[in-house]
Amino acid sequence: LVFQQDYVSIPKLPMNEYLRLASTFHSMYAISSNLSPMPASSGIEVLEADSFKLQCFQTPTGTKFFLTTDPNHNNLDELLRKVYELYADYVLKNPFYELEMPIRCELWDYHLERLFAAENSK
Amino acid sequence: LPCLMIYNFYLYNIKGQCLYYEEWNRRKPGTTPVEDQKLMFGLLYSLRAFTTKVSPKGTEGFHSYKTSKYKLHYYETATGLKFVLNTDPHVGDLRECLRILYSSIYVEYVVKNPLYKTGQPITGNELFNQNLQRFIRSLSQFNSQQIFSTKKK
Repeated sequence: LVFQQDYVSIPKLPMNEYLRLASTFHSMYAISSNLSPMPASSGIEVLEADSFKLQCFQTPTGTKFFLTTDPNHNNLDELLRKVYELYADYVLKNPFYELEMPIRCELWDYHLERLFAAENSK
Repeated sequence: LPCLMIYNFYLYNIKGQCLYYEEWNRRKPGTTPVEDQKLMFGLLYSLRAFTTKVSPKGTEGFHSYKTSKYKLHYYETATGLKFVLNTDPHVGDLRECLRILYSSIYVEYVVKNPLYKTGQPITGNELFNQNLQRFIRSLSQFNSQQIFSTKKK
């Protein structure tokens, strides 16, 4: 897990919890692909529950972005692609960023915040 | 009309034993049925725990997930019975159908069967089999109309 942020006020869990959740999701993603009744399935892309919706986007290199929103949100796919663009622009192109390390890039934080604020105000 | 594909179905009791499994279209077989059913239950267990942790309200209520090739629909009764149906990914919400499956088919033909002991695998129950098959077949026709109308919007 290299980045985690909440954009609305929800109870914050300790960092360890987030790490655990991320690796749980990672294995569920793999198992759901294994259990598929049809060949060549991806892992979980959308997860729906009572009080939230989770969308996951996996890049060709295996990096996963996941977003939790209220259950009525659509077009999360587009949003995640924009996040991927921001990641490429402000994280990967940042010469001080080391792959696999936690992300500490101001511009990434700033643009991500703007993107979600715009989304939340719709 | 687009065709709604229904792939397979699992029914688990509260202890995680698979009471019933049926497949109609499965192109990628599991390792063995027992392993496959155990793996599925393990995944459901993790999904429920995950959903509870991630939920802003701390409630469970996992409904479904979708991958590139299938959608898994999940319905759990108050008694801990778990219904799992895998369909093609473009289907809407089938939980109401699963609820009907529970109340009109499971309760009718399994619970009300005097020879059936609760919590045991459902075997040799012709009425349950037939009604389940018929229900699933009708779903394919009914739901493809539903999908068609939502796509129009």
